[in-house]
Amino acid sequence: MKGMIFTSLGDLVEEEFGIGAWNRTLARIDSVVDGAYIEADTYPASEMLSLVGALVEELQVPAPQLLDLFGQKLFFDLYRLYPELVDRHTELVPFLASVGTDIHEEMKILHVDAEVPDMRCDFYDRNQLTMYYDSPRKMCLLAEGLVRGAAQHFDKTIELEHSECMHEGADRCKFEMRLVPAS
Amino acid sequence: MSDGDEEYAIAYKREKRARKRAEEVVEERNREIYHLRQDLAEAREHLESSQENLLQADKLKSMGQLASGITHEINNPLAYITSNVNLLSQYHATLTRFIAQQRLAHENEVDDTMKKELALIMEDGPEIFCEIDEGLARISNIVANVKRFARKHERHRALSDINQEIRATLKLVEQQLKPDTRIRLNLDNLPLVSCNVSEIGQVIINLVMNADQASPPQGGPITINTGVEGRCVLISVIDEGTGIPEDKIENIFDPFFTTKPVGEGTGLGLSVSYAIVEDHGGTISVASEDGIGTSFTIVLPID
Repeated sequence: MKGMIFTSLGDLVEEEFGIGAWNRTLARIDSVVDGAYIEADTYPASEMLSLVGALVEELQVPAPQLLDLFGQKLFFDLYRLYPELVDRHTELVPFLASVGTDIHEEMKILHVDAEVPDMRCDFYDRNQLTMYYDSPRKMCLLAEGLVRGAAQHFDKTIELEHSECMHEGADRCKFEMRLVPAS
Repeated sequence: MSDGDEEYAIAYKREKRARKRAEEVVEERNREIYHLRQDLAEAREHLESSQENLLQADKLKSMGQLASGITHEINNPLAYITSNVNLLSQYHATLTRFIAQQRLAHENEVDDTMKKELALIMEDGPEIFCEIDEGLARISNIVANVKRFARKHERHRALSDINQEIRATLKLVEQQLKPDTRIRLNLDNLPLVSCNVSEIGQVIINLVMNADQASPPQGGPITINTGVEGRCVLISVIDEGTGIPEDKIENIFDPFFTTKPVGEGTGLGLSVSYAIVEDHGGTISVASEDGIGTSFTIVLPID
């Protein structure tokens, strides 16, 4: 898993809960680099899962809430690194529809070792979309947070239903998203 | 140290390790970029060279078609000119004999001016016909070479020892080389190559004679290397002569292009060599540095 996901999580914890919380979280896990993550390196995906588990214990925050928060921040960190991948779109739904195809393909070109989840849509129009998430890491809640982060970026309010989930035995997760018309 | 200071100290040490690692990564990436740039430069050079070769091959193919048409058109009038000149030469000989007989019989009836003119015709005639014959032979030779450049020759191919052919060819030309010319042979063990030995021999002669002509007036070293690269045999002929000027090098395989003084070369040697090597499925390339020397490399496929 790319290092920037680890640094983004570290930044979130430091900003929201303080340096001490991040220090104690790192002390709870067996990190391959003692927590000295950098964006350019790649670390085992299992270490991210350990970190999330340690954070849930350390911060006493439910995992869904933590991952949703992290996903939203991660979107803005990714945007900081790759603004051109987002700025070519002017609307939220077409952008989300391109994540599993164009954007992930470009990420694999930029980082040959990138392991991106399968995030494909089988239906979308300007106001709604159905997206499927499939990954052995099962970080669907993080993906959900990313979608919310994207909605914030495009200044849209959305309704997001995680109608099928890998954590509940489904083969893949299903997100059904609708734009809420501005009142 | 307070708890807060302690927390910052831990974070500081962690960030320091991260920074050090980040610097290492930057260095690694720089090295990767450096190597990629080198690979890219090599690939570009190779591409440009291939493009030049393709353009050259295309140009020579067009010239071959043109040459084929021209030689066909020249050959017909050349045949009847040659035949008629021979006939005219015989007529001239007959007339000369007749005039000689008549002159003896009518010595007093021919005035002095006519006598002088007849004497001139009888004396100059054979020389003129001799020069015409030489000229026609040269034209015929040029036409034959142009035809050779233009046509594909696939006959008489046999598995041959290129090194042996080089040694045999050198025996044929060594007497024609400049007095101080020395040929160094670095011949590797080669597999047998399917080729027309006489044609490949002609290419070697052309290259060696060119190398000798480019060498200093008394001669100079010429090196012939052979070797194997992949499924190809390489032959290179290297001189330490005048080199080929940069603005001329792209034309050297063109028919009738020569850097030699007028009358010293037809400008067909290298174009014929090019055509022969190409017929064999190989390539011939040149590298030259003005004032340093020239290297011709032939690549012939083994299979």
